[in-house]
Amino acid sequence: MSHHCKISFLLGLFLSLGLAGCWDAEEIETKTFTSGLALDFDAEGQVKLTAQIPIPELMLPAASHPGPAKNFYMITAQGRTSLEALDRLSTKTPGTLGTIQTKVIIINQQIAQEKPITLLDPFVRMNIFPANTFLLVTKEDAGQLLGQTLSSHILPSFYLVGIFQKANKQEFVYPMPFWQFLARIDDPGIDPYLPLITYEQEEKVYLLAGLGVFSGQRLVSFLSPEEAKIFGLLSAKQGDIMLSFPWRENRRVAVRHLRSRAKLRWEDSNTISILLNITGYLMEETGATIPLTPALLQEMEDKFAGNIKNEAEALLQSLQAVNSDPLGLGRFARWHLPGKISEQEWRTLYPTLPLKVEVRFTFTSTGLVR
Amino acid sequence: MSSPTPQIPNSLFFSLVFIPVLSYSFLYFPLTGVLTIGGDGYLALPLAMLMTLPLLLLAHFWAKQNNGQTILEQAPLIIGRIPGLLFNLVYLAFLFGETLVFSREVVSLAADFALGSTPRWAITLFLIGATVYLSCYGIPTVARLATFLLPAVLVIFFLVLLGFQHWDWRNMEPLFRSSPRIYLAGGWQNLYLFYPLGLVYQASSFSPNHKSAFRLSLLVLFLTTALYLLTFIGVLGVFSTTGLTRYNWPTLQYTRTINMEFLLLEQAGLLLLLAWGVLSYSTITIFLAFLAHGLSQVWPELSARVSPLLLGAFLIAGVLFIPNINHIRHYINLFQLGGFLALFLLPAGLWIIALIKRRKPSA
Repeated sequence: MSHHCKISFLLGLFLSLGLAGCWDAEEIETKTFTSGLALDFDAEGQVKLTAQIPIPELMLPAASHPGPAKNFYMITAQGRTSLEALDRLSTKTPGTLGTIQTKVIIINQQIAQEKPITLLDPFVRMNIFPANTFLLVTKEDAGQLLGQTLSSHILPSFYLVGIFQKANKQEFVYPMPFWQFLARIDDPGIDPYLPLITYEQEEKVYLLAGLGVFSGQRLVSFLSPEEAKIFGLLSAKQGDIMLSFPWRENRRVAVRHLRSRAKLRWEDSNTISILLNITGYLMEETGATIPLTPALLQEMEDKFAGNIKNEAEALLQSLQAVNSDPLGLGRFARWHLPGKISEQEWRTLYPTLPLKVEVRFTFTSTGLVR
Repeated sequence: MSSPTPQIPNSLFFSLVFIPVLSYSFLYFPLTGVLTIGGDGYLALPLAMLMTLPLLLLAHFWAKQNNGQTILEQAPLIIGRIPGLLFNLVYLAFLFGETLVFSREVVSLAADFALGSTPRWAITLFLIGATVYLSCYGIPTVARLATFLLPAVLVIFFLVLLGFQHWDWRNMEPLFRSSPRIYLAGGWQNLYLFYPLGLVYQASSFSPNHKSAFRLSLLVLFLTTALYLLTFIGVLGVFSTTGLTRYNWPTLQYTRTINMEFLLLEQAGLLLLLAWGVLSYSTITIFLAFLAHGLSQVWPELSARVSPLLLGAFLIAGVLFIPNINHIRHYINLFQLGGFLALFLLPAGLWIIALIKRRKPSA
């Protein structure tokens, strides 16, 4: 055996022995993966962490036998910090706790109002969660909410992820991945928001009930689903938004597939004006007006633009009242007054800053009706 | 003084220089720009590139005037045996420091992202052991490995492009807000990005044509600057200035934001780590091979095939000695100063002395 062969053989033996006994080697069967997590405070003010753990055997039933309604189990642990609670949670699982498949984290309103960043930051710091895990907020007990069974028998966390991954479902809530939430908290020019979720007991479905908006690090208010739609138009979110509005007495018009482009302008009088260019499909006119002449369409468009303008201005006022800037007007101001507006100054300036909204609306389709 | 230097084709020369420059600080370099300049910190990159040009010119002149001989062989001939030895030791000590800093960062990333339960000594032993094994075979072999791993650069490039999925122009900040002095300081602080280009002082002697070696080194400088610039703008447009400073490895976190549902790229961060990991393995082998080659030129008694073992032992001890990467980041200014001294000032001084001596009739 040549010298080279001997060295290669010894090295191969050493590596194979070393790798086979690798400290981090673990069979997938011996891991317990969480698909969703919920954060609450318990009665003593400690962090309560609830994990949803899917049971793979029940999630893939035979075609002839539909699976049981509950194909997961929930475990809970308390701790003084979120990592301490997570550590205790890991003592309750049969295998090694794996959080890298966590799809959603639901936080309770109280946590969002008090210290979301303190509790969430360690999760990012340790790289134990995917950066794209979706965050949600609820007014209810987050752990209980995550543990509900659904009529569709879909795993609750997968159900929620499914909503966020479909553009046509994002009508009045907008997904907030973990990394983006933290980036918005770090950026003094824009505030975060979180989708608000609730559970409909009778029909056993989750309801997306609007948005929770933050001022800096703390949750300060909620937007209703209708307000969230206007927020979507103002922030140029490209969800499949549908709106209806009155345009003549006892007559309504419904518009879908709304798309908007927002153009911001800093005016001399220290005013930010927002010009919204909105397009959409005319889907319903309760008076069944035929034919849709250009004059009629123009009248509808003007009415619609006026409606949106009023609602947008009302929404902006309510956001200014709680000093919440989820649209990122602070970033825009930073561009126009570079180096002149500090975070604190923007917080002082924003609530009283005059904001003007102009809306232009165009129908891009009126369906099959002439 | 030593055995004749083997020649390598241009393609291998390119990989030999390109891979270390690209992988050296790729995962965290945006931090330096943002911390030194601010929201338009990426402007430091072209400045650092311009500041690196003298290094390449110096290396080119060395190669031109001393065809086939490295700066380490020339130093004792120009300034005498003892000062020449000191010069060589400073140069090699810096190269070793560069290897040590990089190896510690690779070990840290492996521990944080993939091998959480594995003791640090085991990761270090396997990583350095494997690089020592390959570097024993010399520079042409490590250059071939670097060329073989070159497609990993394409993976990195595509991941950087995909990261633009969440790019928002509003995260960028107005340009030229700081004073020119700050931008110059930023350029200087970012100079370390291109320190691995210092390898051309030695690598040029492996190229059959010093002109093409110079052109290829310039190409490496431009290509890496372009890729770094693209990455910096991407990272900044996703995280914003303040958001970026949250992370130790902003580029890695940037690719972790890629979201393509149900596709392989659900874990793009790991893919980047894999691509960067193989390149960084190649980088350490290149550093070790050049260190071994340099040592054998300073002490011909030390064979270039044995010295990697000695260097590997020191490297393992050094990596285990640094408790965590925060220590490296804390003393980065010292490292920058050392690099400037070893790669810019000393070679320039040596070159000037060589010019003066050549002009004297007695020389």
